[in-house]
Amino acid sequence: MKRRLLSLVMAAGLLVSLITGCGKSEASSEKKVTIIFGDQVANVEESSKYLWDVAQEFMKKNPDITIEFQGSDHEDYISKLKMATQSDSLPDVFWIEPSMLSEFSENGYIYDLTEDAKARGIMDRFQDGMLDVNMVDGKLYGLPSEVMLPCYYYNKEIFKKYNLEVPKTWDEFLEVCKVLSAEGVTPIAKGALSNWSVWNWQNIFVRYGFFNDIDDILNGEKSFNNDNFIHAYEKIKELSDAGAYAENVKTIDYYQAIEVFLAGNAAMLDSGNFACRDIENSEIANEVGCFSYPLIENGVTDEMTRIGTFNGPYAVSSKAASDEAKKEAIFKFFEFYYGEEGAQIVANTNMLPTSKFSGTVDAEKNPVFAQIVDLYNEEGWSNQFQPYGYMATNVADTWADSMWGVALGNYTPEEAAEKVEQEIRY
Amino acid sequence: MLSNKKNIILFSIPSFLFYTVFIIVSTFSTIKYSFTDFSGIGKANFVGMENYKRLLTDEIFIKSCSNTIIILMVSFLLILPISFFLAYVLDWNFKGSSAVKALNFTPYIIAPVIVATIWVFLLDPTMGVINNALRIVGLEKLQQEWIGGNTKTPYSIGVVYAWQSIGYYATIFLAGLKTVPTEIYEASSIEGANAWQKLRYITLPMIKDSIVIVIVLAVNGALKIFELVYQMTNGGPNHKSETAVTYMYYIMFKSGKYSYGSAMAVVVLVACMIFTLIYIRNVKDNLE
Amino acid sequence: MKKSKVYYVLLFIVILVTLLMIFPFVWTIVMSFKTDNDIINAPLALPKVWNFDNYVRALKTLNIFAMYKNTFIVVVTTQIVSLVITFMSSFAICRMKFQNRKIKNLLYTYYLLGISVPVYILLFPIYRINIRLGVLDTLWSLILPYIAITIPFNTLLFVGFMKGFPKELEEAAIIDGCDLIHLCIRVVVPILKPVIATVTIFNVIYNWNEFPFAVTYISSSANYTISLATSMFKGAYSRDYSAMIAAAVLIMIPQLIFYALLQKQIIAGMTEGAVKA
Repeated sequence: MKRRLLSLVMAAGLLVSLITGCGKSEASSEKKVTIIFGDQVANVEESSKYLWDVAQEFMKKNPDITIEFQGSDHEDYISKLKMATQSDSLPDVFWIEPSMLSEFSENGYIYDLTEDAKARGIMDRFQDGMLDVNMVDGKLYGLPSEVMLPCYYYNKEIFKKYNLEVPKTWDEFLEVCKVLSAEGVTPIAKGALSNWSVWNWQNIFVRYGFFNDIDDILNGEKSFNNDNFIHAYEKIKELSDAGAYAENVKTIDYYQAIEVFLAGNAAMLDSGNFACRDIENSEIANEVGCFSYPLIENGVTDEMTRIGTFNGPYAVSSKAASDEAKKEAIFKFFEFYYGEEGAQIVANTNMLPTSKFSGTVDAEKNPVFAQIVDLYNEEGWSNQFQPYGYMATNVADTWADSMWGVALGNYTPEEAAEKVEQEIRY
Repeated sequence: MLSNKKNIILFSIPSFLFYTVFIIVSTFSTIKYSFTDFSGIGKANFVGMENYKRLLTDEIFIKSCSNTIIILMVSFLLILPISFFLAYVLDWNFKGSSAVKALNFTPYIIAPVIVATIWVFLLDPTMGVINNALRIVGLEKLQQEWIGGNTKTPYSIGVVYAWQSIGYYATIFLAGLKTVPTEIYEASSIEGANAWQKLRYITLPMIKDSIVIVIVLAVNGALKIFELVYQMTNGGPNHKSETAVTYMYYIMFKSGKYSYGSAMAVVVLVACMIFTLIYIRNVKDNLE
Repeated sequence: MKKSKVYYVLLFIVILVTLLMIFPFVWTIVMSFKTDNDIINAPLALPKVWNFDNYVRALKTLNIFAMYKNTFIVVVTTQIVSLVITFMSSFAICRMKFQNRKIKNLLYTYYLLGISVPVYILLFPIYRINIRLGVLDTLWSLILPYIAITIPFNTLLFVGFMKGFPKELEEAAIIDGCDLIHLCIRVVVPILKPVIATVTIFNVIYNWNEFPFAVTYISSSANYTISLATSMFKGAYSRDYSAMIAAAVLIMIPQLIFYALLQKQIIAGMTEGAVKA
């Protein structure tokens, strides 16, 4: 009878789930150490390939250490992380927003890496000052996950067709957009549904003295609603007024914008080094070039200032660090990841390694990546942090939202600046 | 036996326990947080009514509430008649009505992210099917910013929600229609009643309970819409298409103001509950 | 029923409505054969090539059998427990004689208020409950809350329909000396089959697709449920739309089959119930 079948199924189900439920692998036995590694993507193997590959190679070399990834899509990941702090169940190592480092360290959730990183020579693997963004009060709380180098990708064929040169100055940039727009070609592919896809707009703020003032602003000594930043917003408006964005910018997201660019339906893409892999794998790989954002006259900082540093650090939970065997395993992994071999593995996935890297890139097989590497190594630039990661998430979010508001014509530059000011003072 | 106290308790306790622990206690926890400054991590300090006062002047919250009401009205006006109509015809059990039934149910099971992708293709002002079709037929003037604009989005969301759930509500109506004994219809036929009279004097009164169920679910469902808006517009542009729940989610989980979001949740909750209570009371259920 | 002109007109309208309903579903299946590029840039076009590449990619990425298994365990366990306890409590409200009638009404209202609760406010509190119970990252962390969530809805439907059923059969059975358990199983449940089937469909569909709890309470990939499948195709800076849509189709198909199977139950139950009544 159906009821009996159902009860059998139920019994089986309960049994199976009981088995599954009976404790995760807390294998901290003498032989094997397991590191639980949290990442902000659901499919680490695909989406954080560089991390995955390094981990696989590491595990081959260290059979007594297992790295188990637990990843979710970014937003779910962040809310889970926050909840985990309330129950002391953070992963052993985990990706974190740079802006969350101070809150987490203040509350004692994460481990101070300074001593161990120094002792193992990990600090030497980076350029001076690059790790500052991961420090709180001079102490190192995170190690970098990836390079954040915003840039514009452009379609060489389209540029050739309309006799356009890569713009070096802001005015040239506006000209390029106007010409393309007049010809009915979408100048820049962008998607408003992805609030955070504001990399190159951030560059404008950096140029207008973001890092000169931000600490004072966050402290309350200065206001976000100031002339410099209003100028920055005005620049964004100029770009939008020049017809830089397609009409449907409001209804697509960043991922769709990528597809528009890859199909040759837009001349440029507002993005960064992280998009390299997708472009490399597309049909137009050989026709794509990249440039850092165009120089703006009359800014506040040096003309050649751009964002070119690290994103989302990896932090170590205090709990994991208190387990000697785990701590040892974790730092062994870091040594490998930031070592020469680890850097090579990362480069092989067409991602810029965060640590000093002296390998070469095959320009024929990876034309886009080779250009990114050249761009990254270009002389003369003063590389700054990413402002977005420098502020608390809600402020960063409001800031991005305000930039979109100006671009879409929903806010005036003054209103936009005021909104961010209010959010900071909340 | 039916008045045996032990039996009553035995039958009532399990549901009561599960429900109270997981739903009621959790809701009270949220209410508690709404009076603090809890951000999601760290400590929670008592701040009294501050969060609620803030709600009164939060433009975005007020806009999200008006958006939610628009969605509610649009979807309600579409759902009630169409789902009933669907169930009514399906009740005739014509050939293939099972298949039609299942097909009408499909919108409900499609993952919201896919629903969003498809409907944006239809509604997009520049590339979407609807505006393009209007252009082709020469009715360009009727083109609207169905989505992504500043005003029309909630109406579109209402339509999409209705599309998504009509099959769902039709199933409830159908279950209700099936409980009406055919003898009553046959008897009225003998007395010369036509289809319309049967509908008005027999069917509708007899499925009153189903109507109540559908209204309660539809209203609460519309007020709780989340996935759809989240995937279609993410509440944008610039928060112009937020609904009560999407904005609450944004505040609680993205903006790091868990306690403020809790206050929002309480307000929405109370509004929904008041509706449900008043409505149920007015219908005067007869619980013997 | 007389097949008048009106009959055919109404039938035609229903067919039209149905086509409108399924058109996006059909489109989804067509889309699942296209490439990312074509999905975004040529949304209305048919696929250039009809192959199963997207499905292959989706299946390679997903541990599909484990995910189906986990969802199945969660859904079946939840459903059995939920049906039993909500039937019992609804029966108590409808048919049992409480000492004080007010308590009965209060209980009914108490459960109904739960319909208004958006699940996101339960996310964090239930997280803590799961930690206290020690079930985080196991399937129980989903089963227990799911059972609780079905209670208001099931109560609304069970009580709503039970009220309308005549009590003569039950009274006759009691006079015949039927005890409580047998009364329920032999007499009431068969009459309620259409309602039970309807409730089951809704509960199962909801739990099958449930996302926020699943993504928050489960961390080990071995315990993932199928509703998390689409999120596996979202990268930090890229999205595999075509595989995601293929995965979505794989999630949908079992639900349709389940719905179709259960619909037959409703019709069967109807005739049975009518005869008994």
